[in-house]
Amino acid sequence: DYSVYNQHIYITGGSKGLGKEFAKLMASKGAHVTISARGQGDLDLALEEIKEAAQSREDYENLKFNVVSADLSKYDDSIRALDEASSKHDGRVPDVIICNAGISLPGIFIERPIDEYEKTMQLNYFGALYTTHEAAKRMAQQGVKGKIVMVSSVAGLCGFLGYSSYAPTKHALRGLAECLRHELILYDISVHCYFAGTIDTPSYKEEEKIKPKITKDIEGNPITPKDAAKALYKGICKGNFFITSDIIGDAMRASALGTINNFFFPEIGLKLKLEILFTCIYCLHNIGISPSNNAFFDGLLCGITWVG
Amino acid sequence: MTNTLVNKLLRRNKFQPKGKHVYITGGSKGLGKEFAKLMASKGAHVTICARGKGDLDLALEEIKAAAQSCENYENLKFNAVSADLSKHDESIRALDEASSKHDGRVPDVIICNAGFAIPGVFIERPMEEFEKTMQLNYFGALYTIHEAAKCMAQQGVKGKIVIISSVAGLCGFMGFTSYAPTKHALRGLAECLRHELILYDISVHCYFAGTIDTPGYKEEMKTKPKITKDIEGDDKMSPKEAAKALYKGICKGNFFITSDIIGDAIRASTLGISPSNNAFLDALLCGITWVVTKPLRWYFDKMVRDNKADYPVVPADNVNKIN
Repeated sequence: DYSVYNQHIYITGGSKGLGKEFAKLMASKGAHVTISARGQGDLDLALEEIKEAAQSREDYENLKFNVVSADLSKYDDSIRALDEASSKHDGRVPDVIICNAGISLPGIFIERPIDEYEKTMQLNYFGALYTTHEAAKRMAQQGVKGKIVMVSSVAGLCGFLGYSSYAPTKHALRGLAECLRHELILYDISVHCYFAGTIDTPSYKEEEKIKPKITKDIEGNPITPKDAAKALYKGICKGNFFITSDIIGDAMRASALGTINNFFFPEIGLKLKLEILFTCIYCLHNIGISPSNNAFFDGLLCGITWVG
Repeated sequence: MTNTLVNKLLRRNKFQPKGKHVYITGGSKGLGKEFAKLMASKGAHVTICARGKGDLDLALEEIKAAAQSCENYENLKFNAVSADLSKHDESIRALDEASSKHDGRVPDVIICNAGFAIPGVFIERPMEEFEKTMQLNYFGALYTIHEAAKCMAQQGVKGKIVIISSVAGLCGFMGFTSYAPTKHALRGLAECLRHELILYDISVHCYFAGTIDTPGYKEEMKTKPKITKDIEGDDKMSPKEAAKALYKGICKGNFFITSDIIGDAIRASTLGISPSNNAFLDALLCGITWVVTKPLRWYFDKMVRDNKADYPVVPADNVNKIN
């Protein structure tokens, strides 16, 4: 099992949503954290929360928490941001790169302007690519046997009405992750790809304003960024390439509303559990050549999905 | 694949090219050109689009020759448009020119085929290659489709959009880091559009081609790492066979089209929410593939592990190495 203790974690899009929650989780486990995003204001606020998450640790004084403001959809800015993050650690490239920065602008295909498609691909895919390319190079040169984590989406495994500008970018991330999982064995760098379901973040709230009704009806209910971060962490620790939100532990925790009466099958909870279950089953039916997490279990779920 | 009784019974006649206007990007070479010739031979009007005027003119001759035995040959229109499809305004201009030869009516069938691959070792290739590849393979298709779908919806043309992806759009290996994401993106786009364009009665197909022996393929081999070549193997099909397989798939009304058993196996195992071609066969194939891919992937991973020395990296000497 992998331990993040004393590792330097670099998170793009780390000032809000999943990125920020993951940063806080990493801090609480004793990792050094650098977050990167555009808005300095959001970064500073997030930094406070990250520091707070680690405060109870005895090694708190030795942990380094930093922020870098950058537009990650631009190549030069991505390199500069990675440079700044590394400079706080004697030039050593971060041990773990979480490519999380991304946007989604759902809408009706023929009505949306082309520049939305370009912007979405530029940040979601190229933003991740620029950082990954530079980081992988440095890891190889410095002999750092690091980790690269791509945050894709269930929309990277399937597509439906409304997501024509978003799903291709998340599919592209899957393609990149799969190629890199194989190729970066050359340098002992491991790769993970997180197929997140819907997460209740500030971005999600923005999306909901422009999302077509059919798309909303198809999509399920979101999980909290905290639960999503935990699922990602668990998947990384287990060494899973394909990571989806955990169906058992975290789903039940997410749906548990505190009292014993509510713990087993609260009305909303069951629906949420089923949705998360569906997500995982669905991902497994799309696994192709990617490594399974648990071969037997996966085979079973694959069969169930086919029927579904 | 004609409108015979057999094909009607087997529901393989869902596409009748005769009299339709087929627009093919990257239509001057390889798969695009062979598909153009096939369409011409079935009595379709054809417009091909690509960059090089010289190649377009040569291809146009071959296309006309392919149609000569058609009864309606005199009425068929064959045209070529020169454009850089990686640019938005050129893609629109090209589609306009194609439509103008048919009284402004948008083509009935759009084949988004233009694309290329520059395989190589990830950390050695320049970013610009990744950007160029995405720009033509994905955006090149997107620009044409976006405009065509709009026109089809506005003009009430219940057309077809065919996206040429690749087996590399269903899985990824060393060497294809600049190419596989672009072909995966095309799959994502195709799946969204298959669903959404039901709104306008436009049907969508996605072809996951295996290795095709084209001029483009010969270029690829120049930069392809040895491990990638070993994994791909020597099995390739001719552009003619690939064109036939694509045509067959469209006639059967298949969304996901593949042309060889490996393509089929990978297709079945990455179906997710996409429609099956044949539910029972796909389930069987999915099961078999699930068993086979485990040792296969272990073997591919081993190829990389055992050949690390072939891909040396100059170590950085300005940082303390702490592992």
